[in-house]
Amino acid sequence: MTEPDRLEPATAIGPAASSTIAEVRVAPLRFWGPRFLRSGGLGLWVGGGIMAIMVLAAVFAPLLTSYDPVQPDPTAALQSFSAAHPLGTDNLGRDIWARLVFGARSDLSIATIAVLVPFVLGVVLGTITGYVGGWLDAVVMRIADIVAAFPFYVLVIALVFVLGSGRSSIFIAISVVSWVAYARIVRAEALVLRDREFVQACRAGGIGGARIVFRHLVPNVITQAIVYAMSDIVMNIGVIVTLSYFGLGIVPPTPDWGRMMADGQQFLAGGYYRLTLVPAAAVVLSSLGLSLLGDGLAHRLRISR
Amino acid sequence: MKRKILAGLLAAMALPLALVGCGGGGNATGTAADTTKPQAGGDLVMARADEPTSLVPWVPTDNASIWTIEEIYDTLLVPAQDGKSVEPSLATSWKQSADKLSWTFTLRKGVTFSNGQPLTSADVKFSLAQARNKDNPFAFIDAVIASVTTPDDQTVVIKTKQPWSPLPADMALYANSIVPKDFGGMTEDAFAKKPTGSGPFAFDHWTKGQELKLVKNPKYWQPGKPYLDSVTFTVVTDSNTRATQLQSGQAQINEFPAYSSIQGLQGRSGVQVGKFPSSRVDYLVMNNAKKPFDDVNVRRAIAQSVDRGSLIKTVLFGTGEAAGSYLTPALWSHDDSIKPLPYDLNAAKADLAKSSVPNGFSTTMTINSGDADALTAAQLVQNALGKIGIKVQLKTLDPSAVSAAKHSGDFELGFTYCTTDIIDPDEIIRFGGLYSGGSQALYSQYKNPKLEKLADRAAMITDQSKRTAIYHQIQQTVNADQPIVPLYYSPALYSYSDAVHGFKTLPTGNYNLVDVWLSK
Amino acid sequence: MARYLIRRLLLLLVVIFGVITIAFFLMHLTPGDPARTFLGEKATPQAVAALRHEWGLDQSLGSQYARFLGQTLTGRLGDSVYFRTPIVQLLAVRLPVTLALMFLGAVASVIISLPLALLSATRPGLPAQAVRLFNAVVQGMPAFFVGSMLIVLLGLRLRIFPAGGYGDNPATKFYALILPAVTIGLAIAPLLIRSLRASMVEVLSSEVIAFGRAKGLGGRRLLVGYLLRNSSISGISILGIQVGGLAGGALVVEQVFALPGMGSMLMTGILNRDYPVVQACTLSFAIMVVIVYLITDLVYALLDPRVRLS
Repeated sequence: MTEPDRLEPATAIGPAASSTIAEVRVAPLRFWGPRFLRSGGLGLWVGGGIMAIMVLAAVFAPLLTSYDPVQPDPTAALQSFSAAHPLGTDNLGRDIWARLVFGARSDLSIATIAVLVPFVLGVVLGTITGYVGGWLDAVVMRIADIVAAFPFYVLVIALVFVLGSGRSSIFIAISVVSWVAYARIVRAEALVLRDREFVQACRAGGIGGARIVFRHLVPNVITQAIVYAMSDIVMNIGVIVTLSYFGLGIVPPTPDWGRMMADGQQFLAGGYYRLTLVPAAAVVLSSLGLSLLGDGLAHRLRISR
Repeated sequence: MKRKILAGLLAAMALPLALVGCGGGGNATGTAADTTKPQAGGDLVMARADEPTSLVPWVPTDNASIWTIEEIYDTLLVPAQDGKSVEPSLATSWKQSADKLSWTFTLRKGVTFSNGQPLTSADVKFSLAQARNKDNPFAFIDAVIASVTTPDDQTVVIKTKQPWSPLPADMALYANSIVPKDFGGMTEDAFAKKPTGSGPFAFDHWTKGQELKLVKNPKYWQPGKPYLDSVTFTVVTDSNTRATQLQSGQAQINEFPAYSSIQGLQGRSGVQVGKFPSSRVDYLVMNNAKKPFDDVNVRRAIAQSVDRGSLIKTVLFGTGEAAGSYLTPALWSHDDSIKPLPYDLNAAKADLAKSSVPNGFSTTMTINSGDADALTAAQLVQNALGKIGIKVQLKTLDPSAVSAAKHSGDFELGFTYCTTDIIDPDEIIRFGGLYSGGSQALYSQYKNPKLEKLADRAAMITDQSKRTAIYHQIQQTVNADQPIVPLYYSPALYSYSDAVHGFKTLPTGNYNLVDVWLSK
Repeated sequence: MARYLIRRLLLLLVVIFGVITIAFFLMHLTPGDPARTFLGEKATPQAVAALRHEWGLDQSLGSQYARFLGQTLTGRLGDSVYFRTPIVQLLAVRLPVTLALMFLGAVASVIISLPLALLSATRPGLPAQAVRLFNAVVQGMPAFFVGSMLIVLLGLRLRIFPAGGYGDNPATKFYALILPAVTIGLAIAPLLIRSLRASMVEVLSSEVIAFGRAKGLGGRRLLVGYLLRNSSISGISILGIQVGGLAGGALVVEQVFALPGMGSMLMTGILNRDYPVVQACTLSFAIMVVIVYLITDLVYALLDPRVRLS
C-alpha cells in the first residue's frame, strides 16, 4: 500500500530543525507550566495517573463496594442516585458503581490483552517483511490489505458468530483484524532503517539477517508500535462495547461497560439516561487516560531519540 | 480575539438551552377536535422494526409481511375481536356437510378487487390451490384439504380428508388470502411487485429497506371504510429511534415500544399505550431428551424455582400475567383451572433431592443475543436456579444460530414463545404439546403418543364443548409432565399518538387498520 | 507511471478475490441454516430439506465455492433470499445511500479536523490542550452511542433534525444524512487530527518556513496556506486508509439512524444467513475500498515524486 501510511511522522525531515524554531511561534506540544513538565510529560503524568487509578480500582474492586455486581435484586430496580447506591441501580437492581468497578476488570483486561497478540504478530511480521522485502513482503502485505478491505465490524462480527460469543472469541476476532496496523507501521519504519548506515554496517560485518532484525531493527521500530498500542487499547474498548450493542460481547451476567451501555439503550427513550451514560463516562475516561498516556509516551520517546 | 471566540462559544451554547424549553411538548391536539365520530382522511405512518419480505400471501412467515398482507387482501373469514370465533368477511355463511367431510362457503355479492375485477369462486379456488402447494411454509394448515370445487360463482365447496372442525378458522389464515385467478394475467413474479387484493388498502409502492405505502381502496366492499387515505410502514430497527419518532410526530404508531417506557408514556400527553389481547405465551424450554431433564422431578424443581412475579415485574414491567397452561387464554378451551406451579424454593429443593441428581448439576442456557428481554430474564432464571444448586452458564447466539440449535436439539435450556395463526386451539395444542406438532413440542422433545390421538379426535368433533373437554385433558397431562415451563401471557404492545383512534389489534396480530381513523 | 498503476491494479484485484473468498467461507462456517431461517419456525423438516437442495446447500463446500466463483466472475449476483429481489436492484437503491453517507462522513471529518489540527499546531498552550482533550474524549465514544445521543438531543429534544429515516427527495435526503455524517466524522476525527497536526508540525519546523520568514514574507496567511498544501498529502493518505473505517462505521450508523444503505443490508444478510447478499455486499465494499486506495495512491504519486520511484 502507500508507503507513508503511518500515523505519526517517524523522523524529522532534515537535520537540527529545532534550532530555527525560536523565531517561529510554533512548538510541538509545548505549553505553559513548570520546566520539567514542558517536555510533554504532563500527558504522561495525567494519563498515567488516570489509568493507574482505574487499574487500581479494577484490581481492588471487591474492596470498593459491598454489593455483588452479578446478583440481581428485582425489588431495588432502577433506583436513582442515593446514599445507599451512589450511582443508582440498573433494571435488575444491581448497584451500578459495583458493576462499574468490576466491569473495569473485564474491559481493561480484555482490551489490553487483546493488544498483545496483534502487537507481537504485527511487529515481527512488519519488521521481517520490511527488511527482507521481495515476495514475502508482497504476500504478507496483500493479506494485510485483504483484511483491511473488510468493513471492520463485519469481519469481527462474522468471526464471533463462527466462534460463538465470549472472551476467547473476542480475543481471536480482534487479533485477526488488528495486527495489520502494527505490521504496516513497523514495516514503514523498517523500510527506512534498512538503508541506514548502521544496518549496512552490520551486514558488511557479516551479521546474519535474523540477528539484524531482532537485535537491531525491532528495538528501533518498536516505539511507534507502542505508541499506537495505546490508541489500539482505546479502540479495543470501543470494539467490545459495540459488540455488546449487537449482543455479541462478554456473556452476561459478568459485568462489562459495553453490556451496561447496551442494557441501558432500551431505557433511553423512557428517560433513564443514567444506565447508559455512567458506563459511557467510564469508557470516555479510560480513553482519555490512554490517549494522554499515548501522547505523552510518543513525545517522550521521540525526544529521547 | 480570544474574548470574541469565548463570547461566540457561550452564545452557541445558550441557543440550544433556550430551545430546550420550547421543544418538550408532544403533538398539539386541539381540544375542539371531535374524538367520537370517525373522520375520513389522513395519512398514517407506522414505524416497525422489521422489513416485510414478500406480499404474496402464502410465501412469507415473518410478522411484518403477514400483517401487511392482511391489509391488502381479504380472507373468507376473519377472527372475531374477542378471539373466540370467526366472522364473515368474503364469505357470508358457511356450513359443514352432514357427513362432515366438506364445508360449503357462500361468497358475498358485489365484491371486487381494487382494480375493479369482480371476485368470484374461481379466484378462491386458485388462491387456495397456491396456498396448499406443499413447498409453502403454511401448507400444513391446509394439508387436510382434499379438493376445492366451485359449483357456481358465489359458492365454494371444500372437501376434507377427514372431519375437520378447525377449517373455518383455517380460512381466516393470512396464507389463505384471496388473489385474482392466474394473478390477473401476470406471472407470479410480476404480481409480487404489484399485488392486487380486495382488502381495505391497495398497494402503492415499496421502497425496500425504507417504506411500504398502501393507499385507500376506493372499491372496498365495506361502505364508508377505510377511513384513512393511506398507510405507510417504515423500517426502523433501533427501538430508541422508533420511540423518538413517535414522540416527535414523525410516526403515529410505534410497534414494540420498550416495556420500560410504558409508564412514562402513559403519563405523557399526546401519546398512548395500547395493550391488546394477544396469544403470545413465553416459555422456559428444557430439552427433555438430554439428561437430567428427562427426569420429571428435575423439571418440577426448575418450574418451582422460577419466580414469575419477579420476572413479570423486571422484564415486562408488570405488563403480563403468570402462565399456567401452555395454551393461551386468548383461545377458547384454555384451561383456567391450571395454575402455575407456585414459586417455592423449598419444594423445589425437595423435588431435586428426589431426582436423579440430588446434588444439583451444571447446565447451559442458550439465548438470542439480540433480545434484551431474554437476557434479563435469563439472568434472573440463572440466579434462581443457582439457589437450588443448578449452575447455569449463559450462551448467547444470534437468532439464526439459536433457531438451528433448537431445531437440532443442540441445547439444554432456552426460551421460546409462540403465537397462534388461527382462531382455533388446534394449531397451538399441537405445536406446543405434541411431538408431531411441528416443533417437537416447542423443542422440548416431549413425546406422548396418547396426546396425539386425543388431538386428532378433537379436530374431528364439531361440538365445541366436547372439544374443550378433550383439550382440557391434554393441557392437564402436559401440566403434570412439565416438559416446558410456561412463564407468562403478555399482551401485544403498541404506542401511538392521541390522534389515532379505533386502533385495536386482533389476537392473531392483525392490525385491523380498516377501523382506524385520525383526528386532526 | 502507467506500469505502476497497472501493477497496483493487479495487486488490488488479488485483494478483492481474497475478500470475497474469506466472506464465502466465513458465512458457510457460521452455524445457522439459511433455509430454516427463510421458511420460519413452523415449516416442516421436509420443506427445509427441499429448499436446501434447491439452493445447493447440500453439496460439498468445494463445489459450492466453485459455483459461487463462477457466478461472481460472470457478474451474476443472484437474488436476495431474504428480500426476494435481484441483488442488483437492491444495490442500485442502497449503494448511493452508503456512498453518500461515506462521502459526507469524510467531509464532516475534514471540516472537524482541519481547523482543530491547525489550531493545535499553531497555538500551543491552552488551545492545543483543548484539542488534545477533545481528541481523547471523542476517540473513546462508540459510534452507536454518539448516534443515539445525537438523535435524542437534536432529534427529539430540539427537533432540529429528523430522528432517523431517509427522505424522499434530494433535499430531505441530504438533511437526513447530516447527523449520521457528523457521527461518522467524529469517529474518524481523532486519528485525522493527530496525523494532520503531526505533519503540520513537521512542516512548520522545517527550514523552509524559517527561510520564508527570514525573507520577510508575512505571517499567518503564508503559514496557513503553506501548511495546508503540504499537510494535505499525508492527510489524504490517512483519509484514504480510513475509508475502511468509514465503511465499517457506516454499518453501525445505518442501523441507529434507520438508513437504507448497504451496511444495514449487510447486517440483515448476515443475521438471516442470506449468503448471496453477504457475498455481494462484501464484494461491493471491497471494490469501493480498493478504488479509494487506488485513487489515494494516484493522488499521492502525483503529489510526491519520492513515492513513485519506490
